[in-house]
Amino acid sequence: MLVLTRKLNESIMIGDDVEITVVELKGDQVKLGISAPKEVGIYRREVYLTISEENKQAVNTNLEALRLVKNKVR
Amino acid sequence: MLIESKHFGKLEIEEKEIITFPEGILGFQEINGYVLLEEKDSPFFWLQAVDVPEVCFIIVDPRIFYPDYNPNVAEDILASLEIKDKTELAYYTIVVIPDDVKKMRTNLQAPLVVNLQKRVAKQIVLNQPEYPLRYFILQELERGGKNAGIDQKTK
Repeated sequence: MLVLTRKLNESIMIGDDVEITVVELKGDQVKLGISAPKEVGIYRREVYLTISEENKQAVNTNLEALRLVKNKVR
Repeated sequence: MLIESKHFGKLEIEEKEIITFPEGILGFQEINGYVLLEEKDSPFFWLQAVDVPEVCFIIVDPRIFYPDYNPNVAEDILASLEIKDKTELAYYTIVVIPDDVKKMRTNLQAPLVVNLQKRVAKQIVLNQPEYPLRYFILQELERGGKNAGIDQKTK
């Protein structure tokens, strides 16, 4: 991991298209502004991880299981 | 074109059927092309990755059992899907069917939003607490929850 120190209102560039700015500092919270192309998803890490995990569970479903329950949902 | 699929073997599909997810699906970002396959006699669909046979999701339009499902979709997301009006969007949520099939669940927090005309889609993450990551479909139907969609014969 690259660790950089920034002050309020300073920025970091990631590649040519992503910019992260320190917008506000308040106590132990840092408010970050992120500028990125529309196609790049931006998520809080814990949200990203839980949803990725849940998606990965979803590919393990089998055909038989679906056939058992499909009639119950209308 | 011919593709390999996990559950259905070799499938013949048309290029124009392919739905593109420019950012992929969370946890599977490298995969961008999927086809939608119907599961006969059911509201479910399979979302099969075109290039990766093992990646295949069961999805459903949650309004079948949750008629008021109404995700907030930001303007810039609508724009990136080339949609002018929210009503042109199709919503599907990813379904997980564990070994205990009665615990079947779906992810209402992160729906797939699809422009069916332009065949482009995205998985979005909602900030609406009433739409949980794990919505237990059968358990909710049994509670007489959001709708009366339970087949009387199975009671």
